[in-house]
Amino acid sequence: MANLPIGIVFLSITTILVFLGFFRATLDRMRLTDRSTIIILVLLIIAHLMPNFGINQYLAINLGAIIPLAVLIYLLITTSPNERIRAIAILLATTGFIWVTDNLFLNSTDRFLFNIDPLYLPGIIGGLLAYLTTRSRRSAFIAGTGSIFLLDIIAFLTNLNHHVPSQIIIGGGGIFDAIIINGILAVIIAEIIGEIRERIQRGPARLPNQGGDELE
Amino acid sequence: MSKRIVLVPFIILFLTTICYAMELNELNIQFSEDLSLEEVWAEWLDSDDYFVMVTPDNQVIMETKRVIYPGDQYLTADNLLYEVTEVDQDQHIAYTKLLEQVELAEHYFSISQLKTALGLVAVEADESPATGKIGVYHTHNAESYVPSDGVDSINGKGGIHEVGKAFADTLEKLGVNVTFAENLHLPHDKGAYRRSRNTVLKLLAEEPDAIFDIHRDAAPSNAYAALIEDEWVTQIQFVVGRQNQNLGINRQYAQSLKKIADQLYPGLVKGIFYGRGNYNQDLTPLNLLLEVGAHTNSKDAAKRGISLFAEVVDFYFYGPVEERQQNKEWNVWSVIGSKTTIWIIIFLGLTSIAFYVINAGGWQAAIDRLRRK
Repeated sequence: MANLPIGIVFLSITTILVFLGFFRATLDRMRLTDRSTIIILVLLIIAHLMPNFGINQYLAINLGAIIPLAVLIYLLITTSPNERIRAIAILLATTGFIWVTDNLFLNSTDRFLFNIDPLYLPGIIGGLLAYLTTRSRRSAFIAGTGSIFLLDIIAFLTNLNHHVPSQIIIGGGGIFDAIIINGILAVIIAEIIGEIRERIQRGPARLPNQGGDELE
Repeated sequence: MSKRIVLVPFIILFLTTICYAMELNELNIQFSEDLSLEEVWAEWLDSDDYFVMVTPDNQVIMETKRVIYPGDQYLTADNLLYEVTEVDQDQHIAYTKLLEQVELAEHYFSISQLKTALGLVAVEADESPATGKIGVYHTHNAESYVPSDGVDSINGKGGIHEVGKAFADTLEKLGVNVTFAENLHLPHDKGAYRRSRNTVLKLLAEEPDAIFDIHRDAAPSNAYAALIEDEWVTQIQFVVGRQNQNLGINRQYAQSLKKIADQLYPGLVKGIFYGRGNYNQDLTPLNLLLEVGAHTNSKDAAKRGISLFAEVVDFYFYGPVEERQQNKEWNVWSVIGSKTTIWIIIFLGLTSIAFYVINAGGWQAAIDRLRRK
């Protein structure tokens, strides 16, 4: 890889920038300040370099995973009690749904939802559930990221139960980790559905010649 | 409080609807108490029940327990590209149409170099300096070979790990540095690829030239059998995920690698399956999934097959030994990488413009806003 061509380098940089751009937009939707957003982005880049911290032969946590976990806890703490309970309910529903598709529907070829790549399904389901139930982008992010944490913990407990010496590593991929990807995806899904629906609803009343505001 | 009460049945309703849509009897089958863990892990079709992909005139292209979807494609050993048009779920038959006879992407080697190298690889390899680095891992660690391991799935390191080791050992004998990550990603469920993502990222941190995720298929024993140089070996099938942004590069990479394999060991590569999924190939265009034989093949045959393929990989990336000593760079990525980059930039540019115009509320408003700034 020492002779890595410029095309691949450029492609990788572009991908990272796109990811960071999406993540910035995601954090922005959750009412975080610009400064805290930038700090989180920098920490995520650093997270790539973080080592794994082995708890035992079944479980390890990558120190980089602490960042999305901290964002998740921060969102849960700073939200209202009612929204917190809703967010946790959506998180649990998303986790349950993904566990079912991961384990019980291995060969459901003709059913759309269960044929989506398992990497992206938590974010899609989390985003859909969050928007349909609460229209909350925060809940979407909590469901997308939190479900990956919970699924890893379920996998750890399954291995422990069957004495399978497989070490589950929580986090570790920085911005490319399933945790971040699904958090971003969940917010994007909630945002896209929300924007489309809200624009369709408000459309006719906001025509300029009727004195409506410019769409933002 | 009342909103919260409304929320709970909504979620229950959502999940119940989905479960009904999925036919609950499947749940009952899966939860039956006499079902062993291995059966849950294994591919879902009953034993001896395979998906069969057929040509328009009903010739079998491939048999597998891997799920086949409409839109999947298969490049046969003869370089005929078929696309699945319809899947009969009851009979497990995937009907296809012929798309084209593919002319595999040219590599930089000439045939004379190939022939020379064919004779040189085994003889001079030990004296050649260490070249590049290849990463090897297994997403499905439990996969095993019934004739050798007794079962098709082992609760831990399955027989597939020995096949991965044979691949790594052969590459090392040829002078290639290999990082063989034997991390386990169990349990063997659909989430295994989410968990193996960390392994891929850790391998990438070591800057390998390529990464291989080694699996075995589930198919009848004759599906992967090949006689090469008077020895029975299992063939290798490449799997490329259609749901990743590197598909264009993955496709060209797989095809050019097949071309070299066809020239070095004709018949070793069974074909290329372009299936639904991602297989963590979004992380790098250099990540290729290999199916080394099937659960019905012997592990020794699989080890022989993958060892021959290791020679192909060595040759593909590092060229003939004498060329290597002249420090000639074998660089297949610059051309295909830059093409994809241009497409991504064009896509990003168009999307940004569309976003800006929609946000401004139309072309005129967007132009006005730009002028104001």
